[in-house]
Amino acid sequence: MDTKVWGVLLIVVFLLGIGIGYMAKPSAPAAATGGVKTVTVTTTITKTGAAGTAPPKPAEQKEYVIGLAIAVTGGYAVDGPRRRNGAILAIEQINKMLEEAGSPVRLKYIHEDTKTSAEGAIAALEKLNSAGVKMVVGPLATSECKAVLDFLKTNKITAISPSSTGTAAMVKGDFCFRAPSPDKYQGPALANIIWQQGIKKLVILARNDDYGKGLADLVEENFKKLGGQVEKIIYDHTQPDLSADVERASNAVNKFGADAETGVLIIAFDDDGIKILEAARLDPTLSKVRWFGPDSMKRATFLPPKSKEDIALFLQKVHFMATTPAVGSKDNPLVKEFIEEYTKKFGESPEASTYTFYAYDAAWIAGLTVLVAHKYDGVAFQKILPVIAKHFYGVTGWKLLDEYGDAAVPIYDIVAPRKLPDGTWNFVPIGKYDGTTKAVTLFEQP
Amino acid sequence: MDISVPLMNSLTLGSLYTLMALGLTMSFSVTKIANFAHAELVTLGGYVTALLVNWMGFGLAESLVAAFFASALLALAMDELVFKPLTRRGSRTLYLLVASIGIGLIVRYILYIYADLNGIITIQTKADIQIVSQVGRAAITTMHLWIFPVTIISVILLHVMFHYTKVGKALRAMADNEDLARVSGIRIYRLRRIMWVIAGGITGVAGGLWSAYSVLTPEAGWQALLRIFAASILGGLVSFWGTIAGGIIIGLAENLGISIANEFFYVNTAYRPLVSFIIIVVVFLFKPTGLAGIDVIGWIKRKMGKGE
Amino acid sequence: MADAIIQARGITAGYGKAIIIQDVNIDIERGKITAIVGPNGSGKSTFLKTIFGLTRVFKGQIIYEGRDITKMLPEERARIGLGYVPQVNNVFPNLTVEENLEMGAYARTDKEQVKADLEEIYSVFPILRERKKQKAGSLSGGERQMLAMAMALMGKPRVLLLDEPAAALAPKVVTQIFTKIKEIVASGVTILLVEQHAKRALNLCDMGYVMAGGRVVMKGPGKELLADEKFVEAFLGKR
Repeated sequence: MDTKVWGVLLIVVFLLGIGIGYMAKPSAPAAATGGVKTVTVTTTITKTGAAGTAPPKPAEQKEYVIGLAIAVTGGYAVDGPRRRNGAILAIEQINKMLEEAGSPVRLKYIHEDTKTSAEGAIAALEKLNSAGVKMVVGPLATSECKAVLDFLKTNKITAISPSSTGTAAMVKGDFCFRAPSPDKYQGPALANIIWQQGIKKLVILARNDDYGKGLADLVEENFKKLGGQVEKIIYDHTQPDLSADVERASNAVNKFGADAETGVLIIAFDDDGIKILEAARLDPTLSKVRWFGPDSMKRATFLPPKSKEDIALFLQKVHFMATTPAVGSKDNPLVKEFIEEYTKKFGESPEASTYTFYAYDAAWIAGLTVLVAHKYDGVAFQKILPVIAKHFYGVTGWKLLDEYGDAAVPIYDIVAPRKLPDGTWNFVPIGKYDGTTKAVTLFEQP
Repeated sequence: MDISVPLMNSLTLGSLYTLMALGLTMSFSVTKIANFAHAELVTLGGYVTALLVNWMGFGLAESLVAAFFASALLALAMDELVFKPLTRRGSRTLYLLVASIGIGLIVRYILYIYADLNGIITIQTKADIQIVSQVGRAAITTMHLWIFPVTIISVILLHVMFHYTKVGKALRAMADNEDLARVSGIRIYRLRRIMWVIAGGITGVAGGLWSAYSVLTPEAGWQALLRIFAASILGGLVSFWGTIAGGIIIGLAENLGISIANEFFYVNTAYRPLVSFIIIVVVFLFKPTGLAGIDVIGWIKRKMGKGE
Repeated sequence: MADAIIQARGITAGYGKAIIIQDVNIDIERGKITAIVGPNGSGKSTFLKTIFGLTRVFKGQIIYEGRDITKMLPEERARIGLGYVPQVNNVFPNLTVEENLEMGAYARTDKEQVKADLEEIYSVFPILRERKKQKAGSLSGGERQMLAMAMALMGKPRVLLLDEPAAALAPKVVTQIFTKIKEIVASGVTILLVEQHAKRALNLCDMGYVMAGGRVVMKGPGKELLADEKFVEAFLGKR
């Protein structure tokens, strides 16, 4: 056949293939279907742990559904399932409480995979909507939240995201609440922390999505306000190789002067993060300056056994520190209980991802909102949720929301990678940042 | 502007893309299948290497050998289970291409499921990579001492095989005209199997090196496929030397090219994939035979002949 | 009946689902030249390919040396003494002339003899020796045809199937090729020749078959056919 025709065909099929690949990612099976169901239970409900049995009279049991629009494939393939599990645990605990109280009400969840993409998030919400769901925990990413804002509003569905912190989804009066403090607080926090470390010139390497660009802009703005210089590099995180971007960062550091007054802020996710760190650790210039990161850099992916120890050693060498929305101290009985129950149920500590804690709190708030409303109505949920949140103190602290519906108490843990005495690596808290006072407290040096 | 670092990156990536593309060039020229599942041969080789090194404590060399055989086996299975039966039934190349996309998806998501269950969706082969020397600002690492020799040796071996052994010549004959090859008594199905083993194997080794150089996800091969095709197409889809040149050109265009464009014209480095894409389109429009169609040696000889 | 090295019995064959030739019975006599003539599209070439297993056989049998080879793969037929020179695409264009000849001898294991045969081929076709390092794709039509025939001979076939060896060649080259064919027969090789140029072929052959519309319509010794008025009227008359 004519080679030209082949070429055109090849290109078309290439695009087609990419499309197919995109759509065909496996979605986790939905846990159940149906919105609000009224089920007449005629069998005896046996109470676990109690000596007696529940009265055998038939109870009119009411089930409220909470949708979990949480990505478990794509960029969140690793962290997504953990967060989903956090939410599931909360719903189960609420149900246990209701059962013990003899209440006829139960919560039930339906999970839909948002695939870490805007289209995936909309598709997931559409599925939940057609199942009649009006209260949703999720989606995770800011780009996903932003994509579904209109859909939520038109269909009167209230959502609470366990992990979106980007500015792109910061909208007044929307139906999307956010459990962590948004980047509006993290941007200044990072700028202040970095500035207070004596850094005057900052190179920012950020992934090309709403989260990365939004946070990079915020840090840049605040850092310049403090009097610093900024060179911002936005890289395409979908590329197989990022050495050209690392090279740019290296150049920028060189221009600023590779000294104690220059720093690098990396805003990455799992695989793009490793690609950058692997290339950076072999770059003599980049190893000379200090590195910083936001919450997304505090992932187990960057430490052994998930990645090479060389990367962890590099992070330690450049005195890496990352901010992460503060999770209550482990001495807090609430936090302790959550960690124990989660570990028992899922065989892994929730500490692998901070946002598992937020997913747990978000699901509790969602559940309580539904129960308090006592009617399954998205508009009512939207009115009630901020009030419930204001009176809620969870494993991630006080959930007072600001005028945008986002957590308003910006307290961040400052963490650094450490090799623990048992030979494992982990990010350990080395300080705190209080957004209300802009005070950085370090208990140990990074 | 110091070009040592982008130059080094270009050569490294170019070599890796070459190594990945050699198998594609080989299987395309012999079977005429534009095999999109080639991406999965890369990924599988990567995972085999990563798991053997990280979990079983094998050395990189042994693991790469294992990766060779794993991907060779996968390539063989693809052909025996799908391509060969379809070809025998007289399927057109377009159907084979679509089938290859299907195989790719299946293998990719099996890998996804496996990786998910084992918590290794992102994994990096824990090869000990250290800096051994420095050229300008660019570091030469132990990884380079793997990547460059493996690529060069692979190309030389393939060249020797295809031009100086009976099997290799028969493969070229098969690539030229399958019916005539059969008429000459060449057992094409046996040769085809040999071809898939070698093509798959080399690709697996490339995946293994990639997993140590960069990071691996079940999509790693798929993400690199555009470059692999670009390198192969630049080489005219039939020539190994063309493929090397193609791989290096892609590497240079995506690193040095974009660095220069960024330095002087402020082009965002995020536009890198566009470079590969443009190369594919331009080659198909203006020079469908790729670099293989350019007779460099002949040209040099003519020039030298004239000079004498 | 004469000593037939290949017998085609009631062959119905074609490609995919299409039937091209029907109920064809042809005997190829040992050590002789058998010619099949007929107009374009009469199924001559398809029959040749069928003998080599390159088509789909719906009905009938091909017997070679008393053995049914109907279901045998083409590459295996090449290994039991069949040789075939297709009309077009009969060399490997990206291989050198020498490599092409090596491919012709691919199935042979007698390395020393192959070398000797190669030298012999070069002495018979000196032009091929001159061009041995050149790619076959760069040869002229006549050179290519010679290479194709030389390739087939390198396989030491007992039966050689030739598909229009003289098509589109200059008259001088045609004469050369036909002389060559006679030499080949003289060396003991059986030849089955397909030709559109009926007169030329029938003059050369011992036995002739005339095909039209996918069937054998006439047969007989070549000279007799040429003398047959009915044949001359139907196939040569308009000349």
